[in-house]
Amino acid sequence: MHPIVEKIQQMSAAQQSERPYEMTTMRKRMGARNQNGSIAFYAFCDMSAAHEVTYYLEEAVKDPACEIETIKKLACDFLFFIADRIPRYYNFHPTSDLSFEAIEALKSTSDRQEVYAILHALQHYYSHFFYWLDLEIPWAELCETYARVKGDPAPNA
Amino acid sequence: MKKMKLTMGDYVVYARLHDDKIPKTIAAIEQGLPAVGRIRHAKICDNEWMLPMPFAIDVDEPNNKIRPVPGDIGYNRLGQFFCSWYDEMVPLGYTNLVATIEQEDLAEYRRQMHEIWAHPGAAVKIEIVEVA
Repeated sequence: MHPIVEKIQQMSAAQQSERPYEMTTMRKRMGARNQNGSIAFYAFCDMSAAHEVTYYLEEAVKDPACEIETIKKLACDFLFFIADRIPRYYNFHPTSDLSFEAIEALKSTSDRQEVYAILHALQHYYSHFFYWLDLEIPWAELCETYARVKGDPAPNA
Repeated sequence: MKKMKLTMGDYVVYARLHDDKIPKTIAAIEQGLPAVGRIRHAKICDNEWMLPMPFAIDVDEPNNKIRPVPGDIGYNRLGQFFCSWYDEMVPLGYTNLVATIEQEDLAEYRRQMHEIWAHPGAAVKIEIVEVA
């Protein structure tokens, strides 16, 4: 099995219950008007897409009717979009590097099981990384402010 | 008898496993436990929490896909998390039901889990244990 699988799994294990350092680096990235809120929200959205799209690519690989080189191209193109954007927008450098390594690993193989293993590991990593982003956003306070600004009734306690 | 045990700080609660309906799924879950995750609250469905797990279960036993009610604990394959509903809500769809909090424990379960919306991120340990 390609060594990238084990590397992704190790990085996943490191973030299972401990906050990744990339959350700290993301918090230092200032967006328009020198605030971090929009950075956190956009990061949340992009990593939500990352884990969900990778899941469907992973499921497609399991289907023998799906042509492997087509799936690989789709996967590599999508992963490049993620890997290229996230260091510039959110200071997610290790996750970007890992994504680029996954792209090279996918390009290097046409073995269906190996392609599946890479995408499966990556999807798990992205999904847990996304959960940490969810925890960065103060949803309760945010939703109270949103309701007030929008003129909605206050949220239930 | 085996039960699912959830530990969140000082709070411990047990849930009845549905291994009569989904034995392979429960066996697969048991292989991945014990595990600790950081709990968070759902943002669309009310009164629901999610807990990411370090494993992905691919066993597909359709026998227990149900619309959840308070006390139910489901497993979501795409997100690799347990999810549970602790109070009345309108479910968004179906869940793969794996365990259920016992009726006599629901009131305290509701009270404890209610705090997650304002205070997410607590470490929660999930195990499958033998109980008398």
